[in-house]
Order: sequence, then structure tokens, then C-alpha cells
Amino acid sequence: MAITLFGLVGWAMSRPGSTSFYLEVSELEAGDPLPTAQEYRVNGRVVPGSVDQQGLRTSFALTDGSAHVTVITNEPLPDTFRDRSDVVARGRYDGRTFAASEVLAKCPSKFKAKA
Amino acid sequence: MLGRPALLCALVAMTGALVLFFLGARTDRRDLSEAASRALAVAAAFISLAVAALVSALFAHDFSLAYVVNYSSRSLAGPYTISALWGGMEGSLLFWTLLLTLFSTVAIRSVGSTRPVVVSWAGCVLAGISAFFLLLLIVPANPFTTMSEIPADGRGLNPLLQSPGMLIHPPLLYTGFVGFSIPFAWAMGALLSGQADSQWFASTRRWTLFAWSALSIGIVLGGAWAYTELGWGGYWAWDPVENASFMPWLTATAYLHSVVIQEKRQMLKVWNVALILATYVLAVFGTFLTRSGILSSIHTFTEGDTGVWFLPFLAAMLLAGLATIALRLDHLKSDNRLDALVSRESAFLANNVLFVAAAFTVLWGTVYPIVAEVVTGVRLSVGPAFFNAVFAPLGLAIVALTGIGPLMSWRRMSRGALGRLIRPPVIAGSAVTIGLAVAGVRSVGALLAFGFCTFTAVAIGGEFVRGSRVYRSRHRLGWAPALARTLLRNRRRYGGYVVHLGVVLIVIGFAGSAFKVERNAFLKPGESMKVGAYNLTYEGMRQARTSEKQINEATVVVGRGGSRIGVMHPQSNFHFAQRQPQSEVAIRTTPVEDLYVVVTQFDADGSAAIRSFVNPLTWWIWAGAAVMALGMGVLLSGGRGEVAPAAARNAVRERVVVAG
Repeated sequence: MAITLFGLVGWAMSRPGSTSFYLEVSELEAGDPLPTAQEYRVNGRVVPGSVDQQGLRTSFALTDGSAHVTVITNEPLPDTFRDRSDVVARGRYDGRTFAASEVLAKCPSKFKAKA
Repeated sequence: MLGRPALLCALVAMTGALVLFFLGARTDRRDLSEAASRALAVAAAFISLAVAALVSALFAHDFSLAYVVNYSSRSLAGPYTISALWGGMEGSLLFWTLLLTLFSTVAIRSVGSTRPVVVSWAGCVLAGISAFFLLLLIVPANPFTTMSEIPADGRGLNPLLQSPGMLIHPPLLYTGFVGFSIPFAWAMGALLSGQADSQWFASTRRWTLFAWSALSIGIVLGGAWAYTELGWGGYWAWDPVENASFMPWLTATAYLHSVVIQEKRQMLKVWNVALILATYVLAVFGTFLTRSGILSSIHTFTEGDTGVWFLPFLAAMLLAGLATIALRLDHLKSDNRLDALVSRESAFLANNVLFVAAAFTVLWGTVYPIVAEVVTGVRLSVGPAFFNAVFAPLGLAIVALTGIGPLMSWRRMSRGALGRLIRPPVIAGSAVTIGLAVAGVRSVGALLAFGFCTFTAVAIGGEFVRGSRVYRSRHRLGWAPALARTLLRNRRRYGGYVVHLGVVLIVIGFAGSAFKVERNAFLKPGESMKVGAYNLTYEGMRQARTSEKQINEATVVVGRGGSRIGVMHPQSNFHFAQRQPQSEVAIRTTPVEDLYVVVTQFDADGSAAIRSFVNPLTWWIWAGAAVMALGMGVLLSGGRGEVAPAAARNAVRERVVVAG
């Protein structure tokens, strides 16, 4: 029974999309060639003034204080997305831009009062 | 200010209760434990005073308190001022402590008299836990911290929390989490007192059911809130905080089933104590997760240092619980063994294996990122794909077992008898699966789910038919009165079946998500988009302004098959106090499918980004939850004692005779 469960869990963990690496912007930029087929989650702040929306397509710069990366997405953005908000983008990186299939705002979380 | 002195007095009274309960338990002196339970009531009164002080400060807009500044504002609508009490970390811990001490006081007073030593030890555990929470409120999470400069207005409550669901969802979850302290304390009390016979749980059965019901409804309301407020078209994201509420629910569900075996057959005693310990520890673990910032979650309360306090507490509870079980292992021997593989007992066992496996899976997926980072230094996140992959087979197995279990008899059963009972549900389930496959449904998971759900629904229906037969034939009652009488005469059994039926309806709703459709478009006024069978025409944006927010309301005309069937009004508003946009979803619900429309952004020229979903069968989730709640009501309204059905029937007859 336990073997069946571990087998099931192991199989589910190994499926594509089950797990994704969580990186800071500088780790993405660090130069180590990352496999482009792999999905990443990258965490950072939206650079003020960098948000450009044209129809459904949005591009913005994400920073962790030292490095920057340009994120492009066609997905709707969360309500709390704006300049300086703390976001997590999930998607793929081709070495220049980060194509996000999902953008989450970590942000003033629903329980915490905003500073 | 009353708040902080009240908390200090509560801590003094609680420490007194702890010491008195301990002495009462060691010396078996009833006067000491009675004094202790009075001290506990005094502590509860002081905590109520502290809560009253914070609530009145919120209503009076007393901005000298940091908590009032951080979580409310002058423009906050009346009822939502109450939700500010649990909107922030300090307030939510205070509210938690209030529930804990009130439940403890009531539980000790109401179940108290029969076994003083068990009660004293249980009181000891409860007073200890309460003292820990009071310490939290006095040192790291003081809700009465004052401001050095008093601002003119507060920062306001997050607009997402200003919804009716958020008035009920957090208190229900807390009631569930805190409610599990009572059976946990009783289990520990029974073990510590050396009176761990098989009936300790009977005195807390209703508490367990009550806590579990509150948690179940709380979880569903959380999903309903996410669905109607967050605008991503779903209700469950496997976020660590959602998982934190789901794990104790899974172990508690296992416990509610396996405790029946302990009651009927005096088996699984160690297992049951372990389950109640796991449920309690997971509930505390959930509280820790949400307050520590250790996991990245969209729900994070805060990244303060309260989490540091929880970890030793959690470890202490777990170790003390395990040590107590280990020390008293000889008291927990089973009186019986499993007689046969085809029996009600083995069905309950299989249920437990599945629910514990489910809880393990959620725990694994939730803490894997932490473990992976500590061990390998790589930061990972585990996504919904993992959880969905595991829960599809586990969920189907649980649904099937829900149908099979009640058909089995205790101890052993002939295969022929089972075969007769199981034939109609199997035929119905197969017919539905084959019918849908012929009709063109291609999702294997959904075909299986609909088949299994039909199987179980028919099996439960059969139980009601067989149960009510006697009332129809002997008492010549019609269908409806016979069914009602079946349900009310054996509330534990048939109330449970009603809950199961609710679960089946909910799973039908989950299976519907296999056919979800999502479409996004950027439209100018007058332009259209298609989603599923619907045609959405964006007609324009109407703007209005209130003191709280700028309202931007879109008009979306819904057409289907060439004819106009309705108009929807999703909004994309801007809240001034929080300087935050907030979309208001428009949902058109039918039992077949929901049409779900959100405006995600709009431009000055009037064009708007529209996100739309067709969510098939989502209605069934809420309907199923309502059926579950009905079943819970039947279960909770049942008698408190362990009255055998025959005795109960006689008692009712006698009452009728006396009344006549």
C-alpha cells in the first residue's frame, strides 16, 4: 500500500509542470545556461515606469535590486499588479526575455495591511 | 486602556487553572479541579473583555492603536469592521484564543462530571495550550500596541476582505481548528489518567463533529469566496494556506470514520489517538505556516517573528503526544481482530488508508519546497499539477468506497449478499459512463468520475429505500414521510449518508472542471468574442464615483445560438483608501455551467481586456456543500449518548404513549 502511494507521489512529482524552480532575478541573469525547456518561477519587484500594456500583451521589467529582466505576458494581470509590487512570474527564459504564462502578485497579501 | 491589563489578568488566571488542574489530576481531588474550571472561566471572561476592547476600539476608530490603524478606516462599512478583528495577525490570534478558552470552559463544564481525573488532565492540556497563546498575545503579537503619533485615518481593510464570505469563512475555519483541541485534550487526558478504555471519545464525539463540520463549511466558503472575488475562474489553487486547512480536515475525516470501529469493535485504539494527535498538530502547523512567512504563499499574513514561537510549540505538542501514546500503549490494545476481508471494518480501514494517504500527499507537496531547499539548496515550488495528478485516483477510490462501505455488514459477509446489493449501483454507474462515452465525452478521468459518482449515489439511495421500507409497509407511510422518519430515527447513520451524498455532488462539480474553457480578448466597444457556446459583445464602460471607490462597469451582452440571453456587468473598480484596483466578477450560474466574466484592464479610449470562462457543473459544488451541511445538521442534532437504535425506538414509543 505504502509502495503504491510512494509510486503515485513519485510519478506525480516527475510530471512536467508539477514542480518548477524558484529563482531570484539575479540568479536568472547569472549566466549559467539554464535549460530553456524548463519552467521557472522568478520573484522580483516591478520596476516603476516599465509597464507597457498593448491590448492583452504586457511587458514590464522585474528587478531584485541588482539585476533586471524583461517579462512579457499575454495573460491577465492580478488586481494588485502595479509599479513596485512584489510579483512571481511563472514561465520560460530564453536568455533575454522571460515569457510568463502566469503572473501572481505576492504583494500586500489579502491579510496584511499595506504599508 | 483595558485590553492589555485584561490579557495579563487572563494569563494569571490561566496559569492558576493550569496548576490547579494539574494538582487536581495528581491528587484526584474534585474540589481542586472545580476551582480550576472556575479559574478557566475567569480567564475566558478576561479574554472576552480584551476582545470587546479591541472591537470597540475598531468601531470607535481609535487610531491610537496600531492595529486599528493597520486594519480599518473611517470609511469601512459597519459589518466589515468586525472582520478587521481577524483581518490581521494579532487580532486573529486574539480571536483564536477567545474561541479556545470559551470552548474549553464549555467542554469541561458540559462533559465534566463522569470522570474527574480524565477531565482534570484534559483541563491541564487545554489550560497549557491557552497559556501559550496568551503569552503570544502579550509578547510578540500584542494587539494593543499604541502609535507614537495618532494618524487622522487608518489604512483600511484590504478590499478583498470586504465581502460577506469573509465575515464567516475565517471564524468557521478557526472554530474548526480550535475545536479539534477538545478531542485532542480528551484523548491526552484519557491516556495520562490511565483510563484509556475504548469510550473516552464518546464524551467529545459532538465536539469532533462540530469542529469538523465548521472546518468543512469554512473550507467550502473559502473556495466560494476565491471563486466570486479573485477573478481567476477557479476555487482551489493548492496554495500552502489552503493546504493547511485541508490536511487537518483529511485526518479528522479519517478519525470520524475509524472511531466508529473503535466504538463497535474495540479496535484501532492507537490509530485513533494518533489520528486525533495528527489532526491537532496539523491544525497548529497550518497556523504556523500562515504566520511564519516560511513558504511563499499569496496568503502570507506577515513575515514577523511569531512563527519562531510556533515551531517549538508544535514540536512540543507532537513529542508530548507521541510520548504519551508510547507510555500508555498497553492501555490501547485492541480487543478484537479483523474477521474477514469483506466486512464493514475492512471498508472503514480502506477509507482510513485513503484519507491518510491524501493527507500525506498534501503534506509532502506543501513542505517539499522547504525540505528541498534545506537539503539541496535549490528552491522549488510544487504546483497544482502534482496535487491534481495524485488526487484524481485517490478521490475516485474514496468515492467508490463511499458507495461500497455502507453495503457491507459488520464482521463478515457472504459474497452473494454483497453481489445482490451491489448490482443496481454497478449497472447504473456503468450505464452512465458508457452513455457519456457514446455521447462523445473523451476525458477518461471525467468518465470514471461520473460513473463512480452515479454508482455511489445509487448505492446511498438504495440504503434509504431499504431503510424506509419498514415504515412504508408496517406503518403505511408515503415515500416522503417514510424517508424523513428513516433519517430522523437513526441520525448518525442516515445523516452520514446525506453527508456522503453531498460529497458525491461536489465530486461531480470537480469533474466538470475537466471541460473548463478560458478565452481572453481585448475588445473595443461593439466588438465580440466567443467562449464555449457563448458570444460576448462588449458594449462599453459606465463610470461612477463613490466616496470609497471609482466604479468602472462594463456592459457585456451574452448571446447563444444567435439569440440574446442576458446582460452581464463585470466591474473593474479603484479603491481610494488602498490605492488598489479591484475587479468584481460577473457570474451567470446554471446547474449545467457557469459563464464567468472579468474585466482585467481597460484603456482611456473605452476598450477593455475581457477574461471569460465557461465552468461546467460548478453549481454542483455549492449544491453538494449545502447537502453536506444538511447532513451535518442531522448528525449534530442526534442524541448525545450511545443509544442503540432499538432502545431509541422503544424510548420514542414510550414518549408517544405518555403523550397520548
